[in-house]
This record gives sequence, structure tokens and C-alpha cells, in this order.
Amino acid sequence: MAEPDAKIPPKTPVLWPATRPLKIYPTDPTQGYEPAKRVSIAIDYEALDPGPVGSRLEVIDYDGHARTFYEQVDLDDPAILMQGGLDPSEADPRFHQQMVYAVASRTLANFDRALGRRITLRAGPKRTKLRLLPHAFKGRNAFYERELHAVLFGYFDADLEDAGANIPGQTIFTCLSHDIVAHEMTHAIVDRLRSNFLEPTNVDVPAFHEGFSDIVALFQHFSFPELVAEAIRSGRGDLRKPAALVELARQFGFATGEGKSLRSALDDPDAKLLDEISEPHDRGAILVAAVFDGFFTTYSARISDLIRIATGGSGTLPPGELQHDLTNRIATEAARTAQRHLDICIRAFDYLPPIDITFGDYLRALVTADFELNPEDEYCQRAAIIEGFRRRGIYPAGVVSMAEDSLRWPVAIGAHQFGGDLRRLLPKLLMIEARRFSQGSVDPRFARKPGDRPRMYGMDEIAPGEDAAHGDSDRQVQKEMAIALHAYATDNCEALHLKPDVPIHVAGFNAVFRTARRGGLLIELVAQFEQTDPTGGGMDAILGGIPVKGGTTIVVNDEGIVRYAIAKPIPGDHLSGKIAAQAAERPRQQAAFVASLDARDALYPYMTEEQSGERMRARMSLRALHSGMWP
Amino acid sequence: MIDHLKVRMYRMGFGDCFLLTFSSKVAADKFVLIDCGSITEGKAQVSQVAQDVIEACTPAGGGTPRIELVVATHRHRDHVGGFTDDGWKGVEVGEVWMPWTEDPADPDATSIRNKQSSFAATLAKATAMAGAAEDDEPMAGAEPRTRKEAAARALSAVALNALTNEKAMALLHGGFLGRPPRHFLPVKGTSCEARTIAGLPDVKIHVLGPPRDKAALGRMDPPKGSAYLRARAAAAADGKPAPAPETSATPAFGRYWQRDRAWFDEHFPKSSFDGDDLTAVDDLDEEPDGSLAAAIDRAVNNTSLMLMFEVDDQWLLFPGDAQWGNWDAAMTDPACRAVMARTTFYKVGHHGSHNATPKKLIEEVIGQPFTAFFPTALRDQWPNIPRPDLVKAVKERGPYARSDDEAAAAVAGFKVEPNLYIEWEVAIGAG
Repeated sequence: MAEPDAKIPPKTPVLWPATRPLKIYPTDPTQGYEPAKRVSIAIDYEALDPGPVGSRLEVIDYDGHARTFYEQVDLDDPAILMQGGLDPSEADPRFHQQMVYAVASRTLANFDRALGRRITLRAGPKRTKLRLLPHAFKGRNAFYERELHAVLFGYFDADLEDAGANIPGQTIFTCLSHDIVAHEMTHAIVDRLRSNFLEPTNVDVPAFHEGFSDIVALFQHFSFPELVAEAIRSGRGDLRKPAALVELARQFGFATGEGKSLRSALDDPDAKLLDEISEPHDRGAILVAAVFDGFFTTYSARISDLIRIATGGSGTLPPGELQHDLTNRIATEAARTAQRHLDICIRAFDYLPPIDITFGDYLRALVTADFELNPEDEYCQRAAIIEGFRRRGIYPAGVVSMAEDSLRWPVAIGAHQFGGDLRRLLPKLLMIEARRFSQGSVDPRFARKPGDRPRMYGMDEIAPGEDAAHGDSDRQVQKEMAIALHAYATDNCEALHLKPDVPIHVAGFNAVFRTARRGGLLIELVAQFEQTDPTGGGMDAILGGIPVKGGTTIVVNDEGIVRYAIAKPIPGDHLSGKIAAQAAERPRQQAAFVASLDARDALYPYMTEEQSGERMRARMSLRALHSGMWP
Repeated sequence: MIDHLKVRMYRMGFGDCFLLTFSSKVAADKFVLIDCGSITEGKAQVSQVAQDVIEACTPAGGGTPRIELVVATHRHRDHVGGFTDDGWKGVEVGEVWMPWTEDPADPDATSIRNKQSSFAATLAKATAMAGAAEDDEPMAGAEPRTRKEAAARALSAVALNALTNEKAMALLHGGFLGRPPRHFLPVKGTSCEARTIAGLPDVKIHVLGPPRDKAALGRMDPPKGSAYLRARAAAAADGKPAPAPETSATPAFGRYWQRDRAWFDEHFPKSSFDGDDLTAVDDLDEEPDGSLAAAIDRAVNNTSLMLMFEVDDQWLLFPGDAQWGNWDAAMTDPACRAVMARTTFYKVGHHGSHNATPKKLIEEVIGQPFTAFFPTALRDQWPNIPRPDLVKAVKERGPYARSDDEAAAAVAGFKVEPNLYIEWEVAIGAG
């Protein structure tokens, strides 16, 4: 036996994959009499503990109905790795855990990608991950619960009378519906980004939460080409009519059970945003339809050349089965357009005011954010979205027209360029977020070790009272940044439309890195400030527990210049002109909105004083909302 | 010609009983009765009220008591419960009016009734009122000891209120003397119909609701959402026995997959999921709550027959307990709105709760001063009934009386029979 040759170099390491393949049901287990569809999706690779427990998500399979835990999956088990994840199965809870993790991760990745930073799901030093409970309770519901920092999925017995394609009485799992998981995950992420959007201050706020969650679920669903190809095949001849794609959305409607509103808005091209549509899902469905209209316009334009090529220039498809290659090319185009559309929809977030959102604000944020990144609107996607909103009757308040340049937020005037501490801290914060967001190497010799990624802390963890001395230096930077931003807002309150002498709360800040279509990098700092109207005292009983708040989002470029100050100010004489009038109107609108809910709420007459004083918070419970208990 | 009109509001606590008396020089008084029931008053008071109504309708020299028209606005105990009294069987009635949802021959109506009553029955069972009977009196008896108990009892009362009230309804359908014809209103295809009855040719009665369109049907449906309640309600609507309630938990997966807390702690030592979290998840397991009781209350209230009595210059609005949706439908209809604009007397809906009197009605629709009667009682459990701002708004528009404040009613010039009724009298065509 030969001695090992000392000259043989050490074993060459095998590169890790960048992604981990996991199988899921792309819709849900039951699709009529056809066998359930299944796809394998690639999830960004991260080291996982059994559960699975990753760096931002933690699956906990506890069942509060049966008071038991269930066995949890180890996705690093070689047997599972070798088959690219467990095969879909309704009967194996370990597959359920895998699917919830996979879909939630995909949704999270979509937000990271569009927002240009790694979203944090941290809620304090103890709850560093969002918890996912695939079988939390028995009931026809699934919801995100802020107090538990968890998304809870229910399971239930199919209707004994009308079970559809299910066996009567069969157990239905909400965690096996891609759309429900994506929808609930979006609620959780939105709440991390804008906690005030769970405070219903106008009729659009709860509707936005629902509609936006549906938008993310819907377009994420459209980004599976296999699924789109099949919808296109079955809806042949209709490629340039919405029917083929609406078919997919219809499945989506069925999958979410109560989501029939989505179907009706998509099916009815004339459905418009009317004041009397107040139920959050119904109203949200109009937002979904507006965004879908825009998507469809772009998709139709993008496939017209393919159809011309396939038909020798006539553009008229021959009768019979669609050509296989054409179907696949169209499906790919639909999936790509859907992904771009989703990016645009999510990217709007950093340009939203911190409070009291309306659908009109959302359109303005979307247009501004996309313009900053891709001024030329190469695929006319932005124009198509604007047209979609116009057709659905969604008009932002206070704009002169639906032209793109009047929809963009006005450029901030009068705010000073960052100086002093901010100038010193900005590059450090950019570095933290860049290191956090940067993609690690797949070569194990250079790969990032778990825990190496810098953290972004919650505002309560870096509050002035919190001792940061024994924390790491990243935390110190964030703490100082919060203090410096507070000082900046105080010094520039007039330009930021914040009321002097009223405490200013720094609600959040992030550095973001976005890649433009032409390859350029756009770096920005976004921060949100909040104030509570001190004169709101007398209105408490009327407003049902939610005070009148004001706030401003600033978007700052890498030079420290404030580009946008997107404000919903509290009323006062620090304002003038149109913005003063709008601010004065907001508390009245909020009171009118509360009154309109009181009039419809069956429980309201029977409330105790205590319940009455907190009724608006209770109404915004996603749990109640998802079970149809909105007044 | 009718020259005098009296509206008598009986003291029924949370409950309605209104007797209208139409007087003329040439003929005997004629009577109309609108509702008779209570959920807060005991049997003795309800029975005494029934006796007083019957006495009032008995001819001066004796004989058979006669009421030209009996209206049951909706089948809630606080509106029809009093018709269980046996005394009614000796009363001769000209006509009986009920909302269209009571028509036994109308399949839509039957479906709504069945859904509502089985929902209420299931809810009554589910909210720990097993063995609850229609004549239970959760609001009577000893004061509740804790706030929680008070709230639970208050909502039990709301759920009980919606039980079928079969005995009372049987009397209304066929128990009066004279075999009075029944009318289920509004008649299909009519809108804001003006009707008359044989015994009172000078009185026009406008039928303002409930609507019969699809949106209205939706408002009469029991609440969506609570899955198991819904499944049972659906089964009962088809006349099938309701599935037995679950006695034990049915886990998502069998024993083979189940693990205990010790296993979790051992395998997930770093998990943030602690004992408090676990308890919080346990507490989520679906339980019917107050919102369901309130929602079924609203569903039945929305079947309320809404009537306007027009006699010369007096316009008397009796909306039952119609809720926001049906009010809105009536106020949107130009003909109905024009009728409501004439109101000179208003019976405040649903004991003065906010939902049952739209602000718009008081502030925009009714064009002149009017007299208002609140059949109500202040209960600790329901501090929002009657709504203080509604009382204030009504007060600004004219004289008003609350059934629970006889002293103030007397001061305001109404006739008061202590512990029994408050009465408003007006001369017809006087002004």
C-alpha cells in the first residue's frame, strides 16, 4: 500500500448550490378531477435546522386544537436532499412544513429583490424570526398575528353538503394553498414595513392590506411558467383576451375560499372603485383588478410579435391545438412580465407615506419609485398600470391629471442636505445593509458563515434608552443613525411638514440598493417619521382607539440630498396652502369613516365602554377580517 | 272623519308595544297594534301590558275586543314575545301584517327564516346555554356578579331573542278571532305601496320596507365565517338534523406523528416558542363569540316591516328595528324618501341603538319638527343603548319621551300611566 503522496493537493471542495430545490403544490392539492399539479421551486440556499428553521423563518408545528406538536422535517436529511425535497403529500405533515417554508421564502425573496435590501423579520431580541404554524388551529381561516409574531394556518373538515372536488368531511389544510401562504406572508411583511397600515384610518387602509396581499400572491402564482402554460393551452385562441389568464386567477379565487370578490372584479371589466364598496376584500379586489389590467396590457403587447412570427405575419392563429413551442414561449413571457410587474408593485413600498394610505397614494408611490429606477419605461409597463388605475376609477387626491409627471410625488423643497453626524453615518449604514444584502459565495472556502450577516435592529432595540455599549458596532451605528435622523427631522420639520413642538418618532430607516434595467445601481436611504396629534384628545371616543397621526417618509440619495418628502401631516398652522387644507380634512375623514363602520357593525350597540373605546383596533384584526366579520 | 289620534308606548324595557287609537265623533274608536314583546321585562309585566291593550280595545259597554290591524314588524322576542299570552285568543282582528319573510308559501322567505332560526338555535347552544328555552329570561333575575358574566348574559339574551318564537308566531298566523287575512309585505313587485284597511279607510299606510332584492337578502343572511356554525345552519335549513357537536378534538394528523411538549423542548432548545405562546395558540381554537350573536340580531332586525301611517297631516313612522342597510335602501328610493320626509312622529328603532336610526334621517331627510318615542331601558351591559348623541339629536327636533323615564315624559306634557305606558295625543288637521 502506497503512502499518501504529500504533493497531492488537498481535496478540491465541491461548490454549494446557490439554491435549494423544494417541491410544492403551485395552487393547492385539489384541482377538480385532474391530478394535483406539483412544481419544484428553487429557494435561496440557507443553512437550515430541522423544522425547518432558517435565519428569518421558523416553522413550528404546534396544533392548538389538538394540543399537540407534530414531528418536524429535517430538509438536510440526505434522503430528502437527494430527491430535491419531499414529494407533495397531504398526509405527511413534514411536506406541509416544507411547503410553508418554501412559499414563505419565495415571497420574502420577492420583497428582498424588489426593495433592494434584505428585509428583516426581527421582532425584538427574543423573537428574531417570523414563526409559521402550519396547523395552528381548526377553522376555515389563516392569519398573521402581530402579538404572536406568527402566521397561523387553520385546517378544517370539508363541507358535508358541498365539498366540491373534495371528499365530504375530508380535512382541508390552508397551509397547502400557495396563494394563502403567500397572502398571509405578505400581511406579515407589510406589517414589518408599515405597522400603521393595520390602523384603519380610512376605507382604503384595510382594503390595501388585503388587495396588496392578493397582488403578491397572484403575481407570484403567475411566475410559475408550467402553470401559466397550461392555462394558456386550455384557454387557447383567447391569448389576447384576459380569459386565459383570468382562468388562473379564478383558481386562485377558489383556492382562497372566500376570495370570490377577486373573481368578480377580474371578470367584470367595468368594476370601478365606488365609495360604497367598503368591505376590505371587495374594495381590495378593485386594486387587484387595476394592477391586473395593467399587467394584461403589457403581456398582450409583449406576445404580439410571437404570434405574428408563429402565423407568418398574419397574427391570426389557426384553429386547433396551439403549437407547443409557442405555448411555452408565451408562458415564459407571461411569467417574466408577471415578475417585473410584481417587482414594480413591491418597490412602491418605500415611497409610501407612513400612515393613512389610500389607493391613490399607492399609485403615486409606484409611479415615482419605478421612474427613479427606470425613467424610460421600456416596456410601457408603468403607463399600462396608470391606465389600469384610471379604468378602475382610482384617482389620487390632489393631482391635476393622470399624466405620469403629475402622478409622481413632488420633489422635496427646502430640506437641508445631510451634514455632520448623518454624513458620517450614512456610508456606515450603507455598508451594513450592503454586507447584509450581498450574495455569499457558493465556494465553501469563501462562504459566509451562519450569523455573519449584519443585523438590522428594530426601533425598540436601538431606542435612546437602550444600552448599545455592549452591543456590536453595527447596532451602535444604527442607534446613532436613529438619533441623528431624529435631530435632522427636528431641524427640518417645516420642509418635512412635521409639526414643531410635537414629539417626532423615527418609525424606521433603511438603505436600499436597486439595480436598474440598464445595469446601473440606485442607492437610497428611506426613513419614516411619525407624530400623534396632541389635540386629538377630545376625539377619542369618536375614533374608537386610533388617534389622529401624521407622518413623513423621506427618500434620500447617496449624496445625502432629500429627493422626496412624502407627507400626511397632522393639521396645524405650520402648514399652508393645499397641504394645510388636506391635513385639516383628514381627522374629519377619519371620524366619518369610523362612523360609517359603527352604523354597519352589529356588535356596536352591545359594546361596553371599554370595547367601544378600542373598537377600531378590534375591527382591524386580520383574524376577524379573514373570517368575514368586517362590519 | 278621524279627528283625534293617540299613540301609546307601553313600558316594555327592551321591547316594543305600541297601540294607536284613531277617534272620530261619528264612530267608535279604532285600534292598531304594532308589536308586543320584551326581552328585559318579566312575564308579569308583559302579561299586564297585554291585558291593558285588550281592555283598551274592548267596546265601552262590553263585548268582543277588536283591533283593526295587528302588525308584527319582525320575529324577535322583544317585538312578538307578548303574543304568547292566552288573552289574545279572545281578540277579534281585522288584518295581520308581517314582513314578507314570514310568508310560508314563499321559498326565499322560508329559506331565510330557517337559516336564521337554526343559526340562532345553534348559537344559543354553543354559547353555553344548553337547554335554553324561549321563555328563559337571562336579563331578568339577580344582578350578574362579574362584568364578564354580565356581558355573557347580555349576549345570551341577544341570541335567545332570535330564537323562533313559534308560539307567538302561531298566534299571529291563525290565533285571533275573526280569521283575519294575513298580508306579507311589501307585496312582490311593489315599491313604497300605499295600502288601506277596511276598518280605517281614512288612514293610508305606506310600506317602506324591507326590500326584497338580492342585496337585502344578503343583509338577512346569518353571518358568514364561523365554519361549523354555518355548516350546521345549512343542514338545518334543508330540514336535516344538525350534525352532532364535536365532543373531542380531531387532530390534523394521527398519533404516529404527534409529539409532546418535552419532545419539542428537547429538539428545539433554541426556539422562541415558549409556554405563553403555546397558551395563546390554544386560546385561538374557534369559539363563537359576541359578534355572532350581534350579527344574527342584525340579520333578523333587517327583516323589519317599515311602515308610515298617514292620517291627514300626521305622518307616523314605525320602522321596527330596521338596520343601516335597509334604511339606506329606503332613503335611496326617491318615493320612500319623499314619504319619510313628512314624518311628524317617529318610533325610534332598536331601542335607540346607533345602527337603527341613520344620522341622515334626522339631519337631512325629515324636514320638520317631530315627536319621538324611545322604547328603551338603560342597562349596564349595554351602555351604548340608547345612544346619547341620538337622544340629543332627536331632542333638538321636538318633544320626545323615553319609556324608562316617566317623570320627564310627564313634564314634557305626555299622559303617563305609571309603570304601564306613556301616551301622545294629537288633534288631526289642527295645524
